[in-house]
Amino acid sequence: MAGDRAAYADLVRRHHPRVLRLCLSLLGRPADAEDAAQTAFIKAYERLDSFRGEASFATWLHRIAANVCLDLLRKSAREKADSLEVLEASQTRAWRRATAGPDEAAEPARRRDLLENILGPLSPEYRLALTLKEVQGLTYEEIAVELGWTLDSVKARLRRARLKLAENMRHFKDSPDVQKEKGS
Amino acid sequence: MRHELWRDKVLALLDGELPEKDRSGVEEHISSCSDCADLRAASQAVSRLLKAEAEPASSETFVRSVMRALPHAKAQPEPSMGLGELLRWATPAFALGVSAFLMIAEPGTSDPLATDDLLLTGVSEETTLLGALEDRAPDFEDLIGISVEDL
Repeated sequence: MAGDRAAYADLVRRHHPRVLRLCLSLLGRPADAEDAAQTAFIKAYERLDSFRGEASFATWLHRIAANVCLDLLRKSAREKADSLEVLEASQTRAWRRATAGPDEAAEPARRRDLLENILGPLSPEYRLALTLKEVQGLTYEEIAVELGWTLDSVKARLRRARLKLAENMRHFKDSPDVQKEKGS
Repeated sequence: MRHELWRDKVLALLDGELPEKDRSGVEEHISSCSDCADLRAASQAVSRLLKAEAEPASSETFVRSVMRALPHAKAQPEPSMGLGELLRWATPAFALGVSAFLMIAEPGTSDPLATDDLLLTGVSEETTLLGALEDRAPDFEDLIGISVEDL
């Protein structure tokens, strides 16, 4: 199968929309998502010989894509250089809009910007677990298989992600900036 | 029930892992607990944003860009020759070699070919054939009881 490029093109054709969506949900920017998805397909092609068929091809492919995105998120987390004040201000705005109602998130670019501000403070692993749960609707077991994590690790990361989100939401919704806007 | 236990149930509800029979009790707790209400509100806000991201349409441009970027046919590793495979070829090769050696090392064990003499001596084939016949004459005499002179 490794050398069968035509067959591989069919696999890319069939699976790329879902892989792209996963990358877009994790990375936010369409250009980054496309690069990550392409990297995932190239890595999958190079490793086709190691695909044992224990999981479905889609699950195996998503694991590769998730790991590509995880590496990029870790790198991006190391490179973030915004000041604390800038981060706080952007998160305050994001939480206010995200909890205001569906209309606030109708436009894709704006929605991705909100997500980046809200999920950005989470560790890449928490963000990945949460995204797989919410976007793909996977069970704990399915996430464990897709990411090669233990079941306990999946549960713990989802739990911490949700608790951290609630903590951030409380903090930023109650920040003086928002209180002032509410009062005006 | 302690708050931590309620919170675990709320988390299970948000993960879609809470048994149906426990849901109404958890919903009732959330309506009276601001911490758990915040927990659900934050998760629901993020869930709404994530789920709003539609799956991109299939794109031939993307497929082509992946196919262009793929490495070309990977070099297949040379298959290593196992002992069985080695013996399969080595045995007849060895036998052939031994046969060739015996033919070269002991040419006198059978009658020499006339053409061998021709090559070695450079004399005419006719002369050599006659010579060979003469050399064999005693054998014929023994066999049929007639001497060369009788012929």
